[in-house]
Amino acid sequence: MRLIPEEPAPGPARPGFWRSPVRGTWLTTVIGLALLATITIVSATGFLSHAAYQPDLGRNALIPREDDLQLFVISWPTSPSWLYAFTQGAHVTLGFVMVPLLLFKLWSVIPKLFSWPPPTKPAEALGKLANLLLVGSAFFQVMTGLTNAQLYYPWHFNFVVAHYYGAWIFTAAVIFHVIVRVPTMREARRTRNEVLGMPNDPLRTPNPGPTTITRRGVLGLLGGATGAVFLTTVGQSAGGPLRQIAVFAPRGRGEGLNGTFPVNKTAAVAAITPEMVGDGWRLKVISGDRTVELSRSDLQGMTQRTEDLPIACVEGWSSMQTWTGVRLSDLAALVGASDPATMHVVSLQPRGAFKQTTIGRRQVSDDRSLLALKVAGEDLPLDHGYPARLIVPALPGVHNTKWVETVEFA
Amino acid sequence: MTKFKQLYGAGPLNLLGHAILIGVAAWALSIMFRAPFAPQPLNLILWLVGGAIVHDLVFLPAYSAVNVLATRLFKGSPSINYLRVPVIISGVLLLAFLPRIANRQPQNFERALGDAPPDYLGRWLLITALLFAASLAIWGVQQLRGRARPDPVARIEDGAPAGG
Repeated sequence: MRLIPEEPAPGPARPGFWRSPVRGTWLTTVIGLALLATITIVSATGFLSHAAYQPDLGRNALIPREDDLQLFVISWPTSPSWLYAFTQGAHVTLGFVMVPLLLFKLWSVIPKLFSWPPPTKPAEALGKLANLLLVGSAFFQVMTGLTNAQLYYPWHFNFVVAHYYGAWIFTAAVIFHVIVRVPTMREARRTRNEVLGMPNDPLRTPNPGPTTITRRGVLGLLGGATGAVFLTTVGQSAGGPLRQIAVFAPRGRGEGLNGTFPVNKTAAVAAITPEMVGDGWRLKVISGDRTVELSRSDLQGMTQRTEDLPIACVEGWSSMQTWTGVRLSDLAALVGASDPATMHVVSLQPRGAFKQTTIGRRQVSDDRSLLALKVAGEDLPLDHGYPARLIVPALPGVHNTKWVETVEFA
Repeated sequence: MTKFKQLYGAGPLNLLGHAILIGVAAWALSIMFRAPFAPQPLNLILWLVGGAIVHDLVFLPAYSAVNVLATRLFKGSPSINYLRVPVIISGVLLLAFLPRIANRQPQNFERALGDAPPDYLGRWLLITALLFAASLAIWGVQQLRGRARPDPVARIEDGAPAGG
């Protein structure tokens, strides 16, 4: 007696239920390689962003340090200054591009989900579990990333923790999947030009429906869909004329603050009031037991430097601006801190994970790193961090602390 | 070795690979599910498996059914692509940018950026209209040219290999 009938019930498990004549291992391989190239960049830039937050310094770590598989403990560089704008722009833009790639890829392999008979050997069952991890984590990473980049938070868990550990599951599942599928991809490449395709191709339907599109047509359509997503997003970081057509990326066209460049948080949401930044405001500069208090006019009396540096957000947008202010190394010299290993910055904002930050030696000693007082030749607007903000080349936007109250060298 | 293969269904390397993958996943999940990070475990479970399940069992079957019906309506003619292409590109844009197009939690946008969100729905409708208009224009040009120079899509019907 057989427990599992040889023939599946009528429905998606029947051979011939899925009738698209273009489905086949060759098409899946081509889409899969495009998706793999995209995932490689998205995954690598994601882990780079984690490194750019310098979780090894001060209280920067957003996830438990003892549970962090920080494989590349690198000291984050300051050159080129657009490094983070580039890596994070690529991460978010290509994350959006993954939507059509993922949908087309899954469409191309859907008969396998229902393949009959169900697994009888442990290896097959584990294969199904690995696929669930792969597809589940792919959707999880894309959905949480895209909704977060669009300022929509419909979940009840910690986004940073979930997206970071989800990335480990996703990356592991992708690597495993590629290893398992390499022989199939090789075979598909060999059979590309044969009209009959792969012998016994498990993705080829035995019951083809009417041919309404070619394989090349499917790939063209995928190209059109990815192109549409790419072009309506990429301008938020690439800038130039592309910014005008970045119509769907939040802040893509520089939205916010009536014509100036975007912000991640307004002064209102950070609970900064005009009184806190009035004439009574003093910057405390600390090193060991030495403390110097500076008013804004004291700071303006110091040597002023002007640098063109991008402000680049983890949410993908960036904007190149001209900043004027005091070199961090000049502030360090003021309190006798020579070649400090770290600088801890505290904001006036009463709460939030980024009311403080720590930067390392490379950031502090870079001559372009400023405590900025002006942007584009004007005093900083309150939303952009008046009376003074940090601006450091290649540093993630939220670490360029606004409304600075204290800097401490160590 | 043969006995292992018979029982397990593949070589020992396959088992080792799965063990590593499941190990990494279990480690990552055990941290994601810690109470301070995920105060509502059910919510995280739904997000972890919800996308894959809704896509595979609802979304994909639904659009496949629509495609089958539409193909019948077009009597299997490749002309369906004049409809398919704008629908798919517009649909992908809608899915990718749904939170902003559907204007979810606009207060987040306003609080963070300092301005009310722009009319993303209007932008999407405009792009969708342009896609359909372009498709219609191409269709019109093809009709005017008649069958003098059949387009590659139409040539399939003449028996050229369709691929796949």
